[in-house]
Amino acid sequence: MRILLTASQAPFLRGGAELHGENLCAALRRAGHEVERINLPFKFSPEADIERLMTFCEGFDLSAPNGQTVDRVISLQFPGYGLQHPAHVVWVLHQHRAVYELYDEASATPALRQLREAIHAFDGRVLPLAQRVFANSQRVAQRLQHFNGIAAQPLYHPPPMAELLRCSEEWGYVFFPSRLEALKRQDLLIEAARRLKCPVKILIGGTGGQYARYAHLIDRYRLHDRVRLVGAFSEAEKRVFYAHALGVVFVPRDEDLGYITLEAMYAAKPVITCTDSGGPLEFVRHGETGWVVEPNPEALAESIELLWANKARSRAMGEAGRARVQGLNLSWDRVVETLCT
Amino acid sequence: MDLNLLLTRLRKEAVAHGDPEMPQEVHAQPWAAVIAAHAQAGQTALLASAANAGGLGPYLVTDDENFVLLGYQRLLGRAPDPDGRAHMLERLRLRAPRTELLMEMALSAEARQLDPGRFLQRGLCRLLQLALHPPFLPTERLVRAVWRRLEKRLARRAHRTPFGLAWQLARAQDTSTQQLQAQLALLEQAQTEFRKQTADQLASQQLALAQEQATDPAQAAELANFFAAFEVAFRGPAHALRAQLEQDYLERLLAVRGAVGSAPCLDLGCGRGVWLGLLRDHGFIGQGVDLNSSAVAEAQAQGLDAKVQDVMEWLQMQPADSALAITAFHLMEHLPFSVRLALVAACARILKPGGLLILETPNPENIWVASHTFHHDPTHTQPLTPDSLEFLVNYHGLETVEVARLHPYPESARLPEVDAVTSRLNNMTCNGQDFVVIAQKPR
Repeated sequence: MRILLTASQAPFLRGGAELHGENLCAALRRAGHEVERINLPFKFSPEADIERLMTFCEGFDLSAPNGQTVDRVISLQFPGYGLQHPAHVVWVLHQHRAVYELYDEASATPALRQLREAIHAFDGRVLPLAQRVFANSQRVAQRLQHFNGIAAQPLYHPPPMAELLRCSEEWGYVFFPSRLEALKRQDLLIEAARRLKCPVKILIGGTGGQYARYAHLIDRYRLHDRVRLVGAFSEAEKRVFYAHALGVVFVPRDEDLGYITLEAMYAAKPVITCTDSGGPLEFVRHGETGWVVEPNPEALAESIELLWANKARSRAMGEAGRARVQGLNLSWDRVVETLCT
Repeated sequence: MDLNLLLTRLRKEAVAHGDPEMPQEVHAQPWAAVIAAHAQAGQTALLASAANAGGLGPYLVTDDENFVLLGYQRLLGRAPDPDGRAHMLERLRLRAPRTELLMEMALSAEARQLDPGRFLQRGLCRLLQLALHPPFLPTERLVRAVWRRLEKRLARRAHRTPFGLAWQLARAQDTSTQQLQAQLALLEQAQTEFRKQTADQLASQQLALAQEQATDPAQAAELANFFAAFEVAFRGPAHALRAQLEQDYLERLLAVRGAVGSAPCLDLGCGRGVWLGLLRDHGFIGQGVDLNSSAVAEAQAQGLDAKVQDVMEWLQMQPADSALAITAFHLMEHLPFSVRLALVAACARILKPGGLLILETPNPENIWVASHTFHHDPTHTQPLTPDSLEFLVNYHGLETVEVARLHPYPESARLPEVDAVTSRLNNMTCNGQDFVVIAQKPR
């Protein structure tokens, strides 16, 4: 099958979405499909540029470019899913979050308000034209239903190199790998660390805009002996950090999916997450494979105490998590099959 | 376990497990690989043309290496293995006839397996081999010598056939192409090096140019004339400047002479000698130095003690504790910082205890000065601030007597002050255009 795979590309900003696109492309090619990628240059501002890109996509017909047959267009992101093709399959990683779940009417500029209306209308117009609409997670599907009244089926995929994750003897720390951004709420864990009685250590992995603020918090609370910002880590380091963790803490606000949950489960580690964390809630079962707690430092600290107090049970929870994630049978082959039939 | 130990152990294990990601190969000199590939392709094409030509000719006209390649390709249908190739080349070196080697190959088990027919050819080969090694006669050397001569004659003839000529031509072309490519690579390399050298030399050339300009007498004279005229235009006529200097500093000089006693007053950057003239008229011993020869000539014409010399050289010649006052009006902003530093140090040495150092310079607190008038003079380096200049003199052990803002814009230039904004604007634009740091050597 000849497939065009579209995605948005914010130049020189690499994140999960770029990796996801590459992995899907590789999986499609491995299955014998002929794939070409179309990356649309994306800028988060000014709003007018986003509108221009929407208008372009909606008006651009990809059904037979230059007389070439295109059997299918697969789109992962806004606004590429607006491109015209009779067999357009959309697998929504996430919508334009700034005008959906992250939108705040009180602080919105007039331009953002206008953009919000335009994007809601755009999504409402173009997504029903797609042959099928999938969502990267249950959470993303819920949002599509909630905001746009569009039914989307969740389609899960395995995190990259999940097969290399392993579980080893725990070395008495919890691990929180994520970009250091306000939405990921590493500060919740730092605040919780002040309230901890047990001698558990905390490793926070990743880089990002909040590094200075988090470092300052650790300084102010004198938590140097307990909490460490590990900074950037290699894939090999990541696997080792998972392998020896007592548990994994992942407490973002309204995450779309979050590889971290799945990676922790493949490494047989219990996961502590929050009731408003979005994606992780689809996998973590409170009391079975981890803890789902209120998003406040007290509740988080309490769950970490429990994690430490009964390590045998924590280990059993990790095992249960691994059994659960393996039971999901996540595979790229299944993803390719679903997207291409 | 403490956090550092924990991280060390984790990272150590990560290193032990390694990363599966492989770094991509980077070619430092991509064209080197290209040339090698070209050479390879050339050879192959040449050989293919030889292989396509039939008969014995190709075997006889090629060089040894290609003969081996060709033989293997045509008789065994493959490229030579390293051992086989080495063996054949060694036999050729020992002057074995090529046809003999070809016969051996044709009779080999591998060739037979590949092409079971050709009984006639193989029979002939076998016969010839028997002729070379007759079972009972010691004639091998003789037969081989005859054979070799025969082959030589055949080879000469083959070279004259159309194929032989084409082959030689192609060889020559191939060789020259390779040579050209090698030359091109060398040239590219040379060019890269040249670019680097050029960049390296640029700075020193610029420096040399600047020095040349300074040492070229005609140009130096022209520059001196320009800046003498420039001084007149921008500092104002001599009588106005003299009145200003008198108002600003004369009283202070008279007072210090009363306190310290008579001694020479040095003026750094004396220009046309306005200050020196004022000093003389009030009974001071004035000595000046300036780099501008035409301004100094003007001063000398008035009978003043001024000379053309580098200010630092001049200061180094002055004895310690010898000067009543050292003045530098609008000089410091022309000097690089290292010279300013050394200059104040020298002044601190030369001044008599109780003697005065007076440094006047444009005041960048006034934004018209900082943003505009300071830049009239192309030889200004950097505006100095009152605080930093005061620090500099204090650093060398001189005590501040006064830091004063001088020469405000006339009242008429000020906006009518109706509110805080106009008041602040007036302060920023109309206050002192110059400032002076007056410092004293401790007694």
